[in-house]
Amino acid sequence: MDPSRYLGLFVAEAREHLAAAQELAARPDGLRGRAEPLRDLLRHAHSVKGMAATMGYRPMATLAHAVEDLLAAWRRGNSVPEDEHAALVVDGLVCLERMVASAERGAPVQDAETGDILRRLTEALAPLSGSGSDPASPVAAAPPTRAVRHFRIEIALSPSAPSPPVQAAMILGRLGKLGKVLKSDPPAAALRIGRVDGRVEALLETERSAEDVERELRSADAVASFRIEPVAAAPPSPACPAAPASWTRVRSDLLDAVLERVLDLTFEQERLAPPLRAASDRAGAGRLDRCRALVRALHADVVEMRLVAFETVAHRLSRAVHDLSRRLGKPVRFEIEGRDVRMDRSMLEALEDPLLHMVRNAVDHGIEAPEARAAAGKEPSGRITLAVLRRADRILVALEDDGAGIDAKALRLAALERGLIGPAEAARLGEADSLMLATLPGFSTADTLTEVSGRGVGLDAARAGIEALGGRLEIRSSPGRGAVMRITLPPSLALVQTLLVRSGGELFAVPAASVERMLTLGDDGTPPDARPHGVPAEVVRLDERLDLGPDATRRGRAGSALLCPAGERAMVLLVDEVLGRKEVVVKPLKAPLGLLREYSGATLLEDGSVVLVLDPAALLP
Amino acid sequence: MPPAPIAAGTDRVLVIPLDSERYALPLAAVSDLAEFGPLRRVPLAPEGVLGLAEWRGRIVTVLDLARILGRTTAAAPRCLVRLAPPLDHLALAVPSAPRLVSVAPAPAEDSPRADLGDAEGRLVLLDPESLLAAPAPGAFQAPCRR
Repeated sequence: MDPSRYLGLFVAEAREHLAAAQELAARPDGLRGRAEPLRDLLRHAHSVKGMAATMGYRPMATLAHAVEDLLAAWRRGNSVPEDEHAALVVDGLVCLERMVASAERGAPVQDAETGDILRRLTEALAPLSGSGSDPASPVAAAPPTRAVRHFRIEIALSPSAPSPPVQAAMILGRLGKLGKVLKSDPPAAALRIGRVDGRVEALLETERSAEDVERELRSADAVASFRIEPVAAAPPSPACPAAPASWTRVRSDLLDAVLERVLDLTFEQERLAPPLRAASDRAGAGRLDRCRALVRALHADVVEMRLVAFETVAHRLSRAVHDLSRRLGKPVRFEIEGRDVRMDRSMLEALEDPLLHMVRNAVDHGIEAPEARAAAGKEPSGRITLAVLRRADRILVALEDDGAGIDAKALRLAALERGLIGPAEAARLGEADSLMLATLPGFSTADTLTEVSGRGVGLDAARAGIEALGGRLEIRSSPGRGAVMRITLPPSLALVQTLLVRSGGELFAVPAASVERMLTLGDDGTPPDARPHGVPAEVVRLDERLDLGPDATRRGRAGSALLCPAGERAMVLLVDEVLGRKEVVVKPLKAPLGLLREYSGATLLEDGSVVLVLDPAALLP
Repeated sequence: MPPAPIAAGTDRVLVIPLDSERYALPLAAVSDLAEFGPLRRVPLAPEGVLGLAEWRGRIVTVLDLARILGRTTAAAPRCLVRLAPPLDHLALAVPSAPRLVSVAPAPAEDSPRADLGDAEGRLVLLDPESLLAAPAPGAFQAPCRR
């Protein structure tokens, strides 16, 4: 075998294992003797060791083996590692990651710190009697110690159970608590879109007995009958050690290209509609409808293929918090909720840097030093929570800390002193808008941070990154009690439901998710008094806001009004007319138009005309 | 705009006359040409942006080359020059269809400007990335918002 042929695969898989392992190790309770994290950590280290040995990367295999030995010793002895030893495991994993990077570059797979880390690992292992094996023989190392069993499970759902897909997902969730569901039929992705025919099969890897599995299934009301069959574990394959055979790896750039082609196809097929209509070709129109349905299904499949779990970036965030809190001497408990929420791969990649900026800010400037926390009557350890939620029409990410919070008044004064806002604007700004001043470019300086309880470093970049994704950042603060940063993102970077509107003689698309409802105008063209949050909605004429059409003295009355909530505020958007609903492919605007916040992108109609897609919240004065 | 030295293998350029000056774009920096057609105006866009155009199913941002170079020209745009990746979301509007010419690579290093020449005289070589990174003042500056 020529291992170099498998280098790309090795790099991708080793990185996945190391990322997952680092994330587990950096959790506050990751190495505290709990069975599941330790078991998973062992599995990742074991996989890296085997893969490295197969590729002939002996120093990497040796180091992975040493990490595995220490983990196995803790697990056998049920011992709780010291913090410094837990950090040593993280150091080992980071070193392995650097070695993978060397392998990817074609450089020798060595690292200057390997020797030191190996020595420290050996020293840490020594007191744990009988726990070690010879680190010099990595390939012959024993696998994790406790017996892992595999069961094939067939389940018939009760016909009376409501919502079979949900029930099936819950049953798989129950099995997941006993171990790891390696494979299911229907797969979890199919359950999310409602595909299940009353029968579920699963392959479970677990340390629990068949009786335990049986007990769990009997307790589920939706299970009509089941069969549990022990099966032999699949032999590990060097090329694909952890993935079931039904999975295939696909290059991410190919996935991007496929989505691009599908979006092109969506556009091109719509160009067929006008000539078919003109020719009154009913058969052709019927075939076009069928084509639309197929393209829509294809689009849904491709979008599904591009989804990755938030988990894939969680370890970097955890590590950033871990490293910074250690460096600053601020103990921090960092928790991530919604690790399994899946997002478009490109979006998640683009979101990673803004999130890193934000969590570092929270540790550095949000969480107080232990003495200050004690003086404020708080626990010595700060708490930072990152919650990720997926809704039908958006993804919500909230970063909350229990630190000092942000002083909106101080922000206003600082912005005023720096000339970023004038006195009139400073007087007009409410709490929410004042907090957003922290995201202005040029506002984030060390002086400002000291003066105004310290947010800002990188927040301008974070906000720009979020808005480039069509998302929005909001900040809330309770001085003395903490702050919350909320990110709202579109569900995907592809098809979006919009309302087509005309204003000043030009067409625009308004994302339907931004519109609460259409309002009926009075006889004189004035909108009704809308108060969605108890606060009057601000009226914005689109033609005035964008300087469209004739000058203000010759503009006619608006014909339609849209109520658009935006955080705590709301806007009545006046346009000439609403032409109808349309699903469009939104393409983000790039430099030099990317800084125009009034637009989230542009789209093409079937006649080839370009339509700008508005960002209603950015139209508010 | 300081012109970049021309690299080996890029000795064919598109010549774009603007008033009294002649500019050269390396052929490798261009992906396509098209006639100037209707554009979608982008309200509030910077002066250097003329609008958006559909280009074989893609949306490209059309830039006013003369404005970006800080030149004033009375000639209306008649041709679009779409840039090569990674700038293929951009097209330059120019007053006439560019002409393809072969030029000699940049002269000695001590030449203060790596200008080129052909049979008709001097050419100023444009590097699209440098051009977009440092346009004429105000070209990419959005007008004041309300």
